[in-house]
Amino acid sequence: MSKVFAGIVVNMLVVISVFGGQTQFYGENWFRYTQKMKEGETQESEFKVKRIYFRYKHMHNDKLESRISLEMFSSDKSKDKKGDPHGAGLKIKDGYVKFKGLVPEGDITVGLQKNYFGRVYDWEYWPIEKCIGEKYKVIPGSRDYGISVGGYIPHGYGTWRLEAVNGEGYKKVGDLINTELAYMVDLRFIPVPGLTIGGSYVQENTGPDTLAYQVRQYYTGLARFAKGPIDIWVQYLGGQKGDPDNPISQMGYMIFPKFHLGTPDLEFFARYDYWDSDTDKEDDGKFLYLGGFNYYFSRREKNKLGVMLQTAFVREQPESSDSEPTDKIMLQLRWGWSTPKLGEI
Amino acid sequence: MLRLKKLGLLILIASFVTVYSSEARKRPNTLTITGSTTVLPIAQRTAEEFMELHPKVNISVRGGGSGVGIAALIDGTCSIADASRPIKTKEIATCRSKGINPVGTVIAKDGIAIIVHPSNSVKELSLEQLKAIYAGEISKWSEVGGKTKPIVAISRDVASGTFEVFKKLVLKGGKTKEDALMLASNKAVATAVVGAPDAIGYVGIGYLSSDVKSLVIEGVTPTNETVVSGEYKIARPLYMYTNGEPKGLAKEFIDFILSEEGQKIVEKVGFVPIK
Repeated sequence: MSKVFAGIVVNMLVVISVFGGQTQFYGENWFRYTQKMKEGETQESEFKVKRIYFRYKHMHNDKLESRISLEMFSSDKSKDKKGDPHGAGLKIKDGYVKFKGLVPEGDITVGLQKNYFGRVYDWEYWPIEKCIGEKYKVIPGSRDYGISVGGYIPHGYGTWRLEAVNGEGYKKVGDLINTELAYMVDLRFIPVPGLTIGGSYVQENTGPDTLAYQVRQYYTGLARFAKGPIDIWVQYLGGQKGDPDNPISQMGYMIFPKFHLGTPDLEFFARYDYWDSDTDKEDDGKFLYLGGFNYYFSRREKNKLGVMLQTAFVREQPESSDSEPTDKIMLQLRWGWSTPKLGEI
Repeated sequence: MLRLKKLGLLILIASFVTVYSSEARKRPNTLTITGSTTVLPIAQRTAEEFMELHPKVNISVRGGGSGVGIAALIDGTCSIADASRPIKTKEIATCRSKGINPVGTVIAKDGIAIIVHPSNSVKELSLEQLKAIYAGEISKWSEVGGKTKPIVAISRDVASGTFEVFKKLVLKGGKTKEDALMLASNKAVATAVVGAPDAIGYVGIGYLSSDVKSLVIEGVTPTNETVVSGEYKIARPLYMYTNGEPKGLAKEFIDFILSEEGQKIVEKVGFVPIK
């Protein structure tokens, strides 16, 4: 872990000192309390550092930008020689180079970057829960290694992106990566202010049998309506995975309304998901009910700390009447900062 | 399960009712303006005057930068976003996706005059020559028709909006030479040029005085008229962005800035009036 951290710091110092340009540092911290209950029993009651992000972005010039983000978190996985946990884990969350100006109003991005599928790439965790595509493992992580090209439709009428990535997510490397790339396309139109419609498709072909995805084909359609204090997202997700001759079909949807009361600093939200992990089986679906609110003590700006309180109640209810629901209450203090831009392009 | 669904529905209905009642209660005489530090003096001085004329109105003005202003317009935390540049496609897309229709009103222009000591015999420069002087490729006045004296380049500090314009329009994204003197205000640049016969500097057009000589650039003299007509090239428009066409108090305030009285304030704080 310390070697990874040292490597990133050396990279950062070399880039800044040798190449000049403009650098900006960012940080984000999530301190969370979770209480989990099932059948009247408390299964978890824990405070933890859910995430700390440390990021530096370097603008070499107005056509070339690089970025590295580290993620630190409370964990009992890493242990010392005596077997005692270190208490923390470290991941490289993203690390890429962005070439701007090669496509109109867009860029070509190379490296560990976002997965451009459905809401995975722009999910900002306003409810404390992953978005539907990531939660049900349709997309194995918010980031992946690869290359993408995309940008903005002129006059702000939407966005587009094409991407080719490993397909196994940012946590897997080496022997855990199959020999086939995953290909993604994402398109969003904003025909009038406040209305967004779009969709994505991912395709990963047959890989060696020993690896998780032999075939993976998913599509999603989404719509957003935002006007004044109201912001509603609706997403449908479907597709198949597994043995190409006998794939498992899956489908689900998410309805996610958010609204603020009087001040934009207090927002309430609700979410309703359904996910069927095998459409050929009866009663194996899951429902998710979520409700809560966020309060912004201050919003993050240049030279200004952003602080917000997030609360959520989550119920996961199996479709089968024999199964009991699992309830979670989560409280999270989230704060972030960014430095001024240092140096000159 | 049914009870839970009913409860959820009830919370949703109650929240929508509260949202609309609280929206209706919003004070109509309060205006929040956020954004460009370049536009800040215009917004501050005109807000002071406007509040004197309308004592019941409260206008809160703060800087942060053009990007911060547009982000605040998107978040709904300001009514007017000040910007010293046109809104970017990326920002328009974000605005539109969140139901915001950004409409910009040009309220003034920011023109930059190139100044030298009155004793300097050079009267005119091209943009290419100017760029070469600040990049360090031309280091003597004799190379642009003057005396065989070294050129002392004076610039604004990198955090200033004036530097930003100069860098974009003159340096075309390039860097200033390392030994250029970087000063913190228009006034400091003008004072330094008055005291140094071989110096060249740049200031907002509102800071020109008889103590310095302004150079003709690409054959055009920097004046309010040549900036507004677009003939003089080292200039940019300054904007106030609103969600849709300005209405209510935001419209009254922007109309005030565009009025004869408002435009006089624009000129007084060092910018070029557009009317």
